[in-house]
Amino acid sequence: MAAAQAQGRSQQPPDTWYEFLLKQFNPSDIDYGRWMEERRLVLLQASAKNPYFPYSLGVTIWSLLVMIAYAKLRFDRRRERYLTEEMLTDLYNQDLYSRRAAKEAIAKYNNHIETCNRAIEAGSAQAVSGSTSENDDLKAKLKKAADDLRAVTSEKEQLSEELQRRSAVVTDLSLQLQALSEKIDGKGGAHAVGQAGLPLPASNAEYMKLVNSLQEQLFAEREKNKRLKGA
Amino acid sequence: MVVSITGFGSVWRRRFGKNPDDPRRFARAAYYNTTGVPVDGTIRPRSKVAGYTRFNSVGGFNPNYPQRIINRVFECDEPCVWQGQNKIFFKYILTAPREPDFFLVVARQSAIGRLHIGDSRWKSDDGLLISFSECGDEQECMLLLPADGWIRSDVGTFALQPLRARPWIARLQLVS
Repeated sequence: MAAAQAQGRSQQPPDTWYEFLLKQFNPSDIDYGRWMEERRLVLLQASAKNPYFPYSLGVTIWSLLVMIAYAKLRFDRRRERYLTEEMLTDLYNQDLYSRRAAKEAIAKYNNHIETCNRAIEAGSAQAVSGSTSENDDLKAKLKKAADDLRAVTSEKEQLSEELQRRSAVVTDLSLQLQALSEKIDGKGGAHAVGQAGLPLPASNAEYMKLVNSLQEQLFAEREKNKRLKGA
Repeated sequence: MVVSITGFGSVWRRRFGKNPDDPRRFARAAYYNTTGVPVDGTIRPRSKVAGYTRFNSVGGFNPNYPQRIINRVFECDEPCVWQGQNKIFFKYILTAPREPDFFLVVARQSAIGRLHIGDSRWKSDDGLLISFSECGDEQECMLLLPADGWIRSDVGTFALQPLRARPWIARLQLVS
């Protein structure tokens, strides 16, 4: 008997420490893996493999989409309403402001007309003595400005006349210079003789060339004068 | 006179019809182009020789796209002097381009060097100076040059050479 007991003890080795630990958590030794698999199969049969499941899923998704669209439309509508309200508020404020400005303007006009009427009724300038002094000031300023303008205008006219005179002198000198240079070159004009004894241009093109040449000479002379003044 | 345009001056002005009730007031606008130079960051006329070109809206000029008339050929009036300024009026664009009598050329110091206006032989005799602006080191010059006309600057002589295939298109090229 003792030998048999000793034999049996040798066939069942003692539990390791982690088996011992697991037995503390699962004393009845339940196979949770199998249990999980069974439950999974049951769930699968009841959901994905059930013919009602796709229908339910589709209806759920459709309902969600409808809800999202409804919410978006609602938000848009609310935003539109806010904008419209803001615009209406602006218009209302503008209307109030316009009415106030119009009333002020009308009151000012009425006061002015009233003052004028009183002045006319009184038949004297005493009623509007304050404004008469302002008018006098304004008249004096206007007269001064007119005098200044006249002086400036006359000065401008004098300067323009002087400028024209100088331009004429420069042109004359340039023409004389060109005549001399042409005489030196032996190209004495055959046609009409101008004020400075110059050949007058026969056509518009020649005239333009002459003007062009004079403009260039004038520019060159001015540059020369500038240089000399600078020196 | 037929003129091809190779470039514009830097200053544009415009004049609209004076009648505000005219529905075609802006369609009949006139646009004036002349030379100008940068002064303190702004383009100013600073004209030393005053002159301008005139374009009309009805003549095919679109102020929104002025570059479109580059290399286009215009029928023009003869250049003249109007109120002390050289003037050339570009009447209308020719429907079919042809070899022009002149090219409207705009030369700038930054592109071709400094010009010495008034010096002997600074440009070919058949060229016509329309406008010239100068301020400090900046110069801009607008002139009418015939094909193979030339101008001379510090850098050298630039000749206006038209393309053989399209003689209404020309460029200033340094030749010496």
